[in-house]
Amino acid sequence: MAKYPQELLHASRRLLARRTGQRGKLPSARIRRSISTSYYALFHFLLDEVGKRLVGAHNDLRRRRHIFIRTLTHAGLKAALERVRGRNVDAIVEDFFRAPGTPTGSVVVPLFAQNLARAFSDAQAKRHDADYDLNKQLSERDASRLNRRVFRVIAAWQAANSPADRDFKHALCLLMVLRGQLRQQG
Amino acid sequence: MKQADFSVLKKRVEDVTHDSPVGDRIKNIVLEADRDDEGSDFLRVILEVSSLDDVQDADLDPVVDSIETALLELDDRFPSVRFADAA
Repeated sequence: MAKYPQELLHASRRLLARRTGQRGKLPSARIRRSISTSYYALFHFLLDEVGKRLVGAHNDLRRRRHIFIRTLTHAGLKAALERVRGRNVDAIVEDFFRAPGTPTGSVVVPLFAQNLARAFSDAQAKRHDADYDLNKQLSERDASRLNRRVFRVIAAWQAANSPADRDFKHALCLLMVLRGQLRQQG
Repeated sequence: MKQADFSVLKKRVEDVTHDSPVGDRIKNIVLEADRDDEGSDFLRVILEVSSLDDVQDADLDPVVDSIETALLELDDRFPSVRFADAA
């Protein structure tokens, strides 16, 4: 994992840490900051993935990657990931995800991608409440579960490296840049 | 966008959580619809529980997975599951 998203995940976890013997509820601000930070860890992980896969991973390309990923948006990532959060790729974009030489029909979403897409939707919904709606209660359990979930989906994404997995990731990264929309959709 | 009645969604949550390890701790299920600041609709699925002090986060993962899978079959709004202390 790139350094920045990893640091964000650690920061999110540290916000929930208790001193030895400390009991009682954590301050709401720490819970909300933790949730927001877990979301941003996943968001920045995806930016890094898109940059490395579409621009290139070489150190010399870092500046170009950073310029490129500024074109990505929260809503764009969400729209693209919504296309792959079910068992099959959304029919509207399934041809785009079909690997070369594979037959027509539904395209199955690999579990690592489905889980990451769902985690992103969950994290974005919770981050909305954490940052903007103080009337909505969020528990320490919500924050710790989200932190673990983000860590888990990132690890699974990184472990998925078969040729089919890499092809799927590449298509998904392209769709994130395209904000989930293809021209043929009109 | 596919949307189901809250009564249908709540019944589905009750069904998938009933036999789960935390089924007997769930005192109430609250559903709320909202739209985030990016314009995406989502559902809050709030499980009000008596106590989860002796339950690990990992034990809750299958429960949450089941709720998400079940509700996404009925409704396109993403179900964001939360745990709250029952009053």
